Amino acid sequence: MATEAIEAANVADDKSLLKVLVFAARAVDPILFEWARTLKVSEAALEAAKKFGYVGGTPGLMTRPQPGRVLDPNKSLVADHVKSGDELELVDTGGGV
Amino acid sequence: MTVLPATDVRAVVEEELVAARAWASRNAVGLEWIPDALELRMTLSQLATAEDFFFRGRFDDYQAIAPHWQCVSGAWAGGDVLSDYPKPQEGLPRPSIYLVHAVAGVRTPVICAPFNRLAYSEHKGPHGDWGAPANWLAARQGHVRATTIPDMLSVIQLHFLTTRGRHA
Repeated sequence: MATEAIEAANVADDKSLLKVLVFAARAVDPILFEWARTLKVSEAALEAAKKFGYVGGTPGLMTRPQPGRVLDPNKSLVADHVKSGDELELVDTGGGV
Repeated sequence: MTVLPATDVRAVVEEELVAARAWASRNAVGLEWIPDALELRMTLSQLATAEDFFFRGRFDDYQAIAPHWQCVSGAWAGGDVLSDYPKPQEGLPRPSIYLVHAVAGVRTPVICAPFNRLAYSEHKGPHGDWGAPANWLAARQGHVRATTIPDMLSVIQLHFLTTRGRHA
């Protein structure tokens, strides 16, 4: 019974959305996104980039405040420890050289 | 060769500086605009050493041509001095923009990104394959992309976070 309750709670938790405030260098104001916990970081970054008007590049998300950590694009938001109420910064993660 | 009137450039830069200043404020970054010189100065403090580094952007002919970015001394002078440039850490997930290349056999530092005029071979940079710096807005697969001033500052800072010490 207890196991069933935990599983049910996990399912409900998975379905709930993360509310994350995203900043971008080119915008004065942040945008609030509501994302599925299981959404991949790369997909969230792409959605945010589009919303802020970025075209091309390699969008990524970094934790705030500085010094932040660039999230792993291959992980889900929840797997990379993003929580509701977090603030993230949209960054371009392309390389130099 | 200057193509655009300074007043036009100043207007474009100052429009972009609104977001740049907001970015600098929320990231505790020092930013100063010298309008008469069309020069932007950014100071970043290195996490590993607590040393300050000084980034100077010059915007003559912006946006017709990529701006001109260098690391300089604390007196905002120079631009080719190796020790004014931060040194990337080993084993980074992406190649750093803080590069040293050879110009006539001399080790020369450069902020190697499409938004820096000095990365193009026309300006003694390593990139003959990027065409002219007037093509700086073209997308280049895998390379950093920054098409506004605040986006440039963000890229410069992101790569700076993974540096330790100075080039020597």
